Amino acid sequence: MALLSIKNLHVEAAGKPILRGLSLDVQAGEVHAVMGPNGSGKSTLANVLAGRDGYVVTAGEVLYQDKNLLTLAPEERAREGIFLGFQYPVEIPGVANTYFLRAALNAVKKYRGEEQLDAIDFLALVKQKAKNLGLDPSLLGRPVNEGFSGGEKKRNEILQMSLLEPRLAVLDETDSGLDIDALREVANAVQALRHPTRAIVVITHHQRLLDYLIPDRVHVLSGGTIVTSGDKTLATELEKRGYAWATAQPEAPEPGQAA
Amino acid sequence: MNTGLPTEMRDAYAAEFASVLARSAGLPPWLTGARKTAFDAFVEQGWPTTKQEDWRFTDVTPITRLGLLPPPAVQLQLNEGDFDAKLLNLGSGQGHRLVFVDGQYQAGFSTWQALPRGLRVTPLSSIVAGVAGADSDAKPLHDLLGRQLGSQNAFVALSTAFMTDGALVHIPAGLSVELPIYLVFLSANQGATSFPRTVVSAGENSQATIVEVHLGAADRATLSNAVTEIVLEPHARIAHHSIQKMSPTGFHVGHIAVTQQADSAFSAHSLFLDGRIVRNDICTLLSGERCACNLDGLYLADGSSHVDNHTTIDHRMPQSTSRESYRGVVDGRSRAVFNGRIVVRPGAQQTDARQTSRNLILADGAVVHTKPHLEIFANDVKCAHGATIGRLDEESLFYLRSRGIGLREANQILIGAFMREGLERVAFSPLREELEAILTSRIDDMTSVVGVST
Repeated sequence: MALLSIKNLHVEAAGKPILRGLSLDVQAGEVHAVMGPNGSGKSTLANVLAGRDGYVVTAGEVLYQDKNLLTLAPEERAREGIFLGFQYPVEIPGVANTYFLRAALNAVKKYRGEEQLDAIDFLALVKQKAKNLGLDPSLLGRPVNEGFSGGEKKRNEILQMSLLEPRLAVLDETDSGLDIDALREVANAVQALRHPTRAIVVITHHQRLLDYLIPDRVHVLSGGTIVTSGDKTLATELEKRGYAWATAQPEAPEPGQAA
Repeated sequence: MNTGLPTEMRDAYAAEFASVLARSAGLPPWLTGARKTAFDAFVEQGWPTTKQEDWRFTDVTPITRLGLLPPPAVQLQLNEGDFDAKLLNLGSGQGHRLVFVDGQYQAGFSTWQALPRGLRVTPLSSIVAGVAGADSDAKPLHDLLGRQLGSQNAFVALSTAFMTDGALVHIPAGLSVELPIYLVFLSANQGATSFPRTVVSAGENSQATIVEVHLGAADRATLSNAVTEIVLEPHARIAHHSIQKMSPTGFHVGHIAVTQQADSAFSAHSLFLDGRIVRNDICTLLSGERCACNLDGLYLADGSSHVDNHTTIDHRMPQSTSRESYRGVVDGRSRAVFNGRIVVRPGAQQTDARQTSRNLILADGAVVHTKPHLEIFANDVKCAHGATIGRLDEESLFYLRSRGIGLREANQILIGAFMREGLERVAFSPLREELEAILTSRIDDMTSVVGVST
C-alpha cells in the first residue's frame, strides 16, 4: 500500500488551473524525482502537499497513510510526518535558529507522545547533526536563515529534516542555488537520510542532483500532469534531449528503450 | 477650543480641592501656591476634547466619569494576589524600590539598598512633612518642581493640584548609580485616583536608571495621573522606564518632561501592557549641544484597550542626535495612537533625527493611528521617519507551521520576535531579562492571538 497516493489531482491558484489530473503513488523507502520545465506545476505539487494557503483543489484526492491529507492544517501534516524542504527558505528576524528548531522538534515529539527535549539536550543533539551536515555551528545561534548564504539555507533545511525524521519528505528544488561542492554535500546528506520507512520526493530542474541521490522513479511533469515516468535512466535521457522530447512523447512507456 | 470645566464638575472638584488643602495645612506656602495656580489652570481649561489636535483620537470621557476618590485615611493592606506578580516584584532584591499604594508612599513595602554616597531618593511626602533627614531635600524640591513643564495640559495641571506623593531623586555630579531605582505605583482600590510625581535631577557626568511601574489591581477602575520631571546636566546619562499595566477598566495618564543640557544622553523606554485608556506624553527639550535622545516605546493592546503615545523631541542647539522607535501589536478591538513630533529650531544645525513607528494588527477590529509630525526650521539637518502597519508575515507563519509548530505558538513566536527587538537597548541586563519574561507571558495571554487569518 502506498504511503502517498495522489489521484487525478486538479489544483487552481488565483483562479488559474495549475495541476490538471496529476496521479502519483509513492511507497515507503522509495526516492522519487519529479522533473519538468518552469511553470509545469512542480512547486504547486509540493505546496499543496504541505498545506500552503492560496491553492484550491477542484478535483481529485491525496491519501497519506490511507487518510485524506487535504483536510489537515500544515502543522498537523508536519506532525504526521510530512516535511517540505523550501525552495526559498524563509528568513525570520528575531527568532534564533536553535529556538525555532527546538520548538519544531518538541511540537512533533509532543504529538507523538515522546518526551520533549530541554535546551541543553537539544543543543547537544543539534550540534552533532549540524556537524554531520557541514553546517557552521555559529548559524545555530543566529536568527532563522537571516544572512545565511544560499547553501547554508539549504543545509539548514536538511538539518530540519534530519531532526524531524519525517515519513515523507518533499524537497522543492533543494539543489537550486548550490555550487557543485555544496550540491554534492547536500545530496549526500539526503542520501544518508534514506530509510526503509521513509519516502523522499525530490523536485528538481536538473539531473545533476540525481547523480548523488539515485532515484527509484523519475517523473516528468508538464502542463500540470505527469506525462512520462521511468527509472533513473529517464533523468539522463532528459538531460540529453530536453523536456520538449519527453513532453512530445507522453505515451513512451520506457524512455530508456525509446532512445 | 477649551470649554472649561462644566459647572457641576467644577463644584465637586473645588470642594475636593478645598479639603485636600485643609488636610495638608502644614505644606510650605510655595507648594500650596503652585497647587492653587494649577487648580485654576485645570478649571479654566477643562478636560481635553477630541476637537483638540493633541487629543483627536483619545476621548477621555470615561476617565472624567471616574471622579476623585480621596486617599484612604488608614494605611492599606496590600492584597498581592490582586496584582501581576512579575510586575509587582520587578527589580526585587536588585535595587532601591519605593512602593506607593493609591498615591501614598508605603515604607513597609519598600526596600532600600545602601545608597551610594550623595545619592538622594526621598518620598515627597517625607520632604513636605519635614520628616527628619528629608528636610535637606526641601530646597531642591522647591528649585525643581514644575521647572521642566511647559504649558500644562489639564491632566498635568490636575496632577499638580492634587499631587500627594512621589519621589525626588538627586544624583550628584560624577556619581554613577549601578542599580536601577524602582518607583512602583500601585492602584489598589476601586475608584482610586492618584497623582504620582517624580522629580529627577542628574548632576554633571552622573548616570542612573529610573524605573516607574504603574500597576493596577485586576478588575478595578482606577486612575494614576503621573508627572515626571527630569533634568540632565552636562554629560549626564539617564535611562527612564515607564511600564504601564492597569486593569482592563483602569486608566493611566503619564506626562514626562525632560530637559537635556549639553552632551547629555537620555533614553526613555515605555512599555504598555494593559489598560482601558493609557496616554503617555514625553517632551524632551534638547537645550544643549551634542545631546543624545533615544525614545523607545512598546505596546501590546487587546480587548478594548486604548493606548496613546505622544512624543515631542525639541532640538534647540546644534549637533544633537535623536532616535525614536515605537512599535506595537494591536488585537481585539484595541486602538493604538502614535504621534511623534520632532522640532528642529533654526539654531539646531547638524541635527540627526530618526523616527520609526511599526505596527502589527492582529484583528480586523483593531485600529492604529500613527503620525510623524516634523517641524524643521534649520537647513543642515538629517531627519528621517517611517511608519508601517501590517499583519504577521504569512510566509513566516507557514514556514513555522510546516515544521509542526501550531498556529497559536507560531503567532506567539513571531510577535515575540517583533516586540523583543524593542528591548535591545535596555542596558541593565537583569532588567531586560525580566522585561522579556513579562513580554512573553503577556503575549501568551493575549486574548485572540489565534484570531489571525491564515
